[in-house]
Amino acid sequence: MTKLATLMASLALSQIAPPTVLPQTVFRSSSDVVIVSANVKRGGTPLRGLRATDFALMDNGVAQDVELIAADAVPLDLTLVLTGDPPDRAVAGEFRRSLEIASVARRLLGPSDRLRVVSACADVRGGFVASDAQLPPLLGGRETLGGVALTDALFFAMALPVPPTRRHVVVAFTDGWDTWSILDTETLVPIVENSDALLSAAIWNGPQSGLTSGGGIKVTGFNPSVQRQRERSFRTLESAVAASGGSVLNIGDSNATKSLELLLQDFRESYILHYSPRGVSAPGWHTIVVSLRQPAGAVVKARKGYFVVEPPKW
Amino acid sequence: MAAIDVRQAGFDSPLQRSLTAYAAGDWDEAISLVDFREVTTGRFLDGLDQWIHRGGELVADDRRMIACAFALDTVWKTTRGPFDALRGNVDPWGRVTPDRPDRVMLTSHVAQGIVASWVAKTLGQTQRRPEKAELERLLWLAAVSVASDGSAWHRLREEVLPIASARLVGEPRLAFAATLSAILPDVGALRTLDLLHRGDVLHQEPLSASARKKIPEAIAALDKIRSDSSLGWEADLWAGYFYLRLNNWNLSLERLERARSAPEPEGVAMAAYLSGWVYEQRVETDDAILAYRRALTAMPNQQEVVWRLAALLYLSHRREEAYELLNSMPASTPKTRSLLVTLERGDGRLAVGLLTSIRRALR
Repeated sequence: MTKLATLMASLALSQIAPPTVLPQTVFRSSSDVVIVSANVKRGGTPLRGLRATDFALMDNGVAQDVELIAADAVPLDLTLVLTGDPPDRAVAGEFRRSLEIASVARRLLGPSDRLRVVSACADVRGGFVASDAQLPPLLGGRETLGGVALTDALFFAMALPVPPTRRHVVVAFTDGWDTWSILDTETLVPIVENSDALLSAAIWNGPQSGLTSGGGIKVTGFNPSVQRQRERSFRTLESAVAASGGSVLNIGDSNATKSLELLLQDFRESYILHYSPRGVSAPGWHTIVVSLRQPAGAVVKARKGYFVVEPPKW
Repeated sequence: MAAIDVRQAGFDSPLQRSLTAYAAGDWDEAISLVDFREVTTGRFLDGLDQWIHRGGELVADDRRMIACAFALDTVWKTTRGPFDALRGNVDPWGRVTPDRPDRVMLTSHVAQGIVASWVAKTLGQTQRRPEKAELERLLWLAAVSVASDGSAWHRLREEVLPIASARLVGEPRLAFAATLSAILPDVGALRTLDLLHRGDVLHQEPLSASARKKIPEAIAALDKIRSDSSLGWEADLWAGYFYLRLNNWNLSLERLERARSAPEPEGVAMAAYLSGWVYEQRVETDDAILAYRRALTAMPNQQEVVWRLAALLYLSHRREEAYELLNSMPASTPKTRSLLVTLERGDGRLAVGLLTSIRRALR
């Protein structure tokens, strides 16, 4: 069996037509089955009630026959990427804000779902969280030096090996500005393209606002080179989210937990398509284009592709 | 004994007591007797001068040597703050103001060059004594080391090395320091780092025209030093680094490969890390992975190496290996200094060993 990169399968499905359920619901693409999560909206409103036959999917330019999978029975692994200062530096409030977001996330998940938190501070770390008491050590309580290692943290978040019967969603709460990572910003998009996870981002303050709350620092006004670097970091994050088929939500200083609810709802209103590739050669990058046969102003967001590893020659 | 807060008590008296304790061999207690966090470098050095000239049982030259040892030992300790391990190679000369001793705190890395310069002047006033030759040699090398760690290349070149070279004729480490201090201010740091702006490594650092012009001269000087077998691998490491800065990958790899003979794990790790980086630029992923693994074998838990290796493994579809590597990093703020920072501080990496040897020699 060839080993393949996978596409992220996400949440809920059409409420009208009973979906097709694979004998084994596996959320990892293989040479036999490729899985794509598709979020469909018209005018900003989720389009419900679609069937498999409503979708058109091209794999490297070749049309494929797709089926829909029921997503509501499939467990979710949600990874939150957060920043937070140690408690004694919580003047900027990021630490408390991160604790609140993670705590609310736990309550939004189902009994079979799991919450993982990754801290994007200078010392990136993360782990699964079963109770609120586990949050402070993950998010703070240690010596940190400020700075946000966003690329490193997203890599750590996306790289989690998830069992094939679960879906992995990563939500980053950030201003999109990486000030500390060891990895180059440009590494992020290839990492996301090779990951099984769906990446979305809730943006506190984008570059246009002139503000940042990254690393607990509120700064207004930057010199041009710093501003350019900030914008590049932000645009790379946007590209990475688009590559995974996720969403970017600009939340400013508004209610972060409400934003999380909206993003999770977005996931749950997506469709999970699966197909067995026909007429396309296996190894290498496969570009996927998902559309509706009757577009009528609908916008489809889905992963841009997946990678098939050449099988070993033995 | 609790450290004396110099804001509350007069400073001079406690410093004198501290020096007396140091002279008696109570090294650590002597340095901890005074809380130096609120002391300026000027006040500190004035206090040392007073102790030297106060006289006492010890002859003046002995007092000078003890004061020099104390100065280097103290400034090394006071400058080990949380940001020290991250500070890149930027010579404070002409960039950091103020740099007057009376306005530079002893906790600032700027103090390192100032103290090294004072040590050079003070040690230069001593008479040469055969029985103190080894101690004197160690003090000179420690002064160079402390200044290098503070990236005080200008002071090193202009104020320390001229006197040191006249006293330690033919010492290869001084020739090495002279080569580095001549080029490193122009070359700057491989990566810049501050809380608002982290420069990408080895992608976009500007290399000035003067640096490009000087690097071949530096490499030629290193090749002369290379003939000293004890410094051969260091000369190769630095030559490999300079070729890397010029993006001359072939020559860089050639020199870094030779540097693999380093007897120290840090040297092996630095050569391997830089080699891995070069292989990445040449998109030779398998070789880059092997090089990074060599670096980690020599010095485990180097964050830079772990992240770069993990990313390469992940993008090579060895995802489980990548994640296992990331997850294996100890869950604590890394205490080990970045390999790049260590490299770019030249002889700074020798300071701890030299200061220990000085204490032994003072007995």
